[in-house]
Amino acid sequence: MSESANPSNPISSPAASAEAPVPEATTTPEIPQGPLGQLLQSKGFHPTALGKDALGNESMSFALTELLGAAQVLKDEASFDLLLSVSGVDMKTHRESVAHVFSLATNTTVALKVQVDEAEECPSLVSVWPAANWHERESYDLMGIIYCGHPDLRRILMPVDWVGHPLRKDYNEEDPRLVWNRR
Amino acid sequence: MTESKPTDKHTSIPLPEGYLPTENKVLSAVTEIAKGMATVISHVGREPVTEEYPEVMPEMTNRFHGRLSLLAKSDGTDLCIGCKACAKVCPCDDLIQIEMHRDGDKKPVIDQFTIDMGRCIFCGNCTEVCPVDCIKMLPDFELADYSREALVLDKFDLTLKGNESDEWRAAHDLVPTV
Amino acid sequence: MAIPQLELPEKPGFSSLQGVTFDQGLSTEDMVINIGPQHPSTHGVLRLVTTINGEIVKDMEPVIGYLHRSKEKMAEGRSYFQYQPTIDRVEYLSSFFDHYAYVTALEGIANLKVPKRVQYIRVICMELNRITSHLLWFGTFLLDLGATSPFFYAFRDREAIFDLFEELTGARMMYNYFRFGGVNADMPVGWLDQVRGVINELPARFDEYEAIATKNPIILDRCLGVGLFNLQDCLDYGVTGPAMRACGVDNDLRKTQPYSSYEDFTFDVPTESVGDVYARYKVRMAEMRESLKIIHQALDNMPGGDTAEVKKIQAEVDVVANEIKEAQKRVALAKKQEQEPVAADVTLAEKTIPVINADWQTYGQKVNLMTFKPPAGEAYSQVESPRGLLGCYVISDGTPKAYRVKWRGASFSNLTILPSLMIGNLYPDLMAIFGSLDIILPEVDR
Repeated sequence: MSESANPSNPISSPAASAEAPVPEATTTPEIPQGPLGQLLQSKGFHPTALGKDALGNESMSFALTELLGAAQVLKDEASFDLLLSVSGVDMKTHRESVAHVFSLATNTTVALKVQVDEAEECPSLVSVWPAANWHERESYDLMGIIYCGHPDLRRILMPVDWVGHPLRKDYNEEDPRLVWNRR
Repeated sequence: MTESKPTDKHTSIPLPEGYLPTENKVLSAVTEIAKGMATVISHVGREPVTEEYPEVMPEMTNRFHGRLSLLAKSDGTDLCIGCKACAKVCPCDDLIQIEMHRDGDKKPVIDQFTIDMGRCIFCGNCTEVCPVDCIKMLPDFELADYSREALVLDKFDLTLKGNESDEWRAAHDLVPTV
Repeated sequence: MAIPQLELPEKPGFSSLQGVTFDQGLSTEDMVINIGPQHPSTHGVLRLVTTINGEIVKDMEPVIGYLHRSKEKMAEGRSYFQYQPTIDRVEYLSSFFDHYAYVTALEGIANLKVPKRVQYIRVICMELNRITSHLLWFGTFLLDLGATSPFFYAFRDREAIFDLFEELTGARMMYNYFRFGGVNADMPVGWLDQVRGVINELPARFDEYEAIATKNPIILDRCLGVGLFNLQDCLDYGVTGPAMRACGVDNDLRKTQPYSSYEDFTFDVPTESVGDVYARYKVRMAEMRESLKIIHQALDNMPGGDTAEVKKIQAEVDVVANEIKEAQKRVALAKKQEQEPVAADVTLAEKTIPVINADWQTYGQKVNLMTFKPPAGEAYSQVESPRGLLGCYVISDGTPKAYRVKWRGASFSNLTILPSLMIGNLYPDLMAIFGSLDIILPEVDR
């Protein structure tokens, strides 16, 4: 249980994200663990502390393999019982799945991030928070993140036969089916 | 009658004691319906709240988001300086189109100023960023026309006369620009 | 095939179905009905693929996306201010809340301070908007249950509030009024008194609504014990807002995480313990009265008072400030010309320029909306909207355009519980249950 991030995992290491031209590039390894990060560390997980966001919500990032276990610990031990949303974020080199979870007991929100490469699958949070079901479907639909273990991973907002994932940065907006009402 | 608590089939949550009304159902139904009907009937004599629109024109407030227009200087000449700030903040992409050039004294001359009112969403962004308070919204909401093309207003349609512009400015506490 | 053996929950009232089981020897078979996409009771465009057997719903699958307008993608191609008017369309019945979530996220990222007067104006706007939203819900919910008159009464009072909004923002529904660190314009002169006049009439109107609906035997019969769920269901499906508070939880962000000066106001969080359609009805009716309480307090304690008052003081301050500035100019000019400045000018020029109370401003730190460029960062802002927790997740990469904007609509999560409430229940209860969840489809599809 080291204080710093697990260096053996390139996905969660801050050095890897520092090369990406994205907001999280400012992340430095010096950010101290918040109270939830310390709780998870004491349980044997290795979250990368990302500090607080602009409105004071603690955020941390995980290796893909640790997400489910850490989520279960947060639910059981820190009473984070209400999943608010799962957002997919395209970071150009990889994609990020950000889950915002709310605790009714302590009225705090925490952001759990995982980096998902093109070939990887993100573990689904449905087994921990069933409310993630539609949110992960939406993230899959618009961002193309595959959630393994999801009971019903289908498109939700776009038509079933839609090609591509519209919220990706490299999505081609000149899809022939989008021009039908151009003037 | 058996003492089975009423529950919802799906969640099987028993309803708490005393949640269901205990008074005489028929009696309470009659009185409650009578009370409701009395409320409805009490509306009969009240003043109508609706306006008979085409005959009675509603009076619009000062800040109403209506048809876009270009104010002019008091002498009727162009106030717009062609900075294209309005076009940049418009959420509808190419709704506002401006073509301008500068004459010998480097004064801006507006060649074309078209707004497609058919696609305008009346958000008022353009009126807020205009540095010379030129593009403004009128309290005019009757914009229907026979074709989409008729809704594309050019500079002539948009520009108000000098005295109309002064009236508008007076109503909105704006300092007239010379 | 198996005939469903369902017992109806024992309900009060005059239902002819009471005590009737559905095993009457009739042979029924499954039938698939598409409810929607165009259906007057779906409050938007929603399709429910429903499998029914007789009157019993056996399966239901909501199909959404008919109103998907790619609001999140639009944010990436527009500057922050350019994107702002389109937020109104995310949730058109209470768009002040959407704006508040968006604006707060960016205020957090750009570290802008919001004056007290602005916070109070925002509270008045949002609470009035909560009333209009609940009034529309009240009208359409009862319309779904077959009552026509309350619909018109609710719209009448809603119109009165919309007139106030029109006076303030220029628009009746698509306000586009909040700005980063402030509001678009100060209130019109006398607006506070107009609000007072409107909301003083509302309690009597609410009494009328309650007289018509609250104990009406038909309403009781269709609402009591229908669509029950408990707190665990809320957590499992992400249900928030009045629907959650009807399950006995008093979780309200306005109390637990006071934003926009909500800590200054005293109000109660109405809760009900049962969690059925009727409890949700009662919570919403009570919430409207609590909103009135908050508005009254905000009107009475508005920093700076009416706009006329602020304008008067601002004019006085401006006169003094101008005098001092002129004197400073004269002193500077005299020094430049190496002359002795007038003694009166020197004493005047040494005074500090007076400014109006910072709490009374309509802008904290004025930003240039054309070039607004918050630093890189991210924020997840939440607001207690009439439908539940509304979240806005903004990621900024330091450019004038947002890197990512994600909306967490309360309706999106609230809709997920509908199939589980309907399966095994009577088909006619759909409208009561669906109406009581207060779903608005543009927020689901975004």
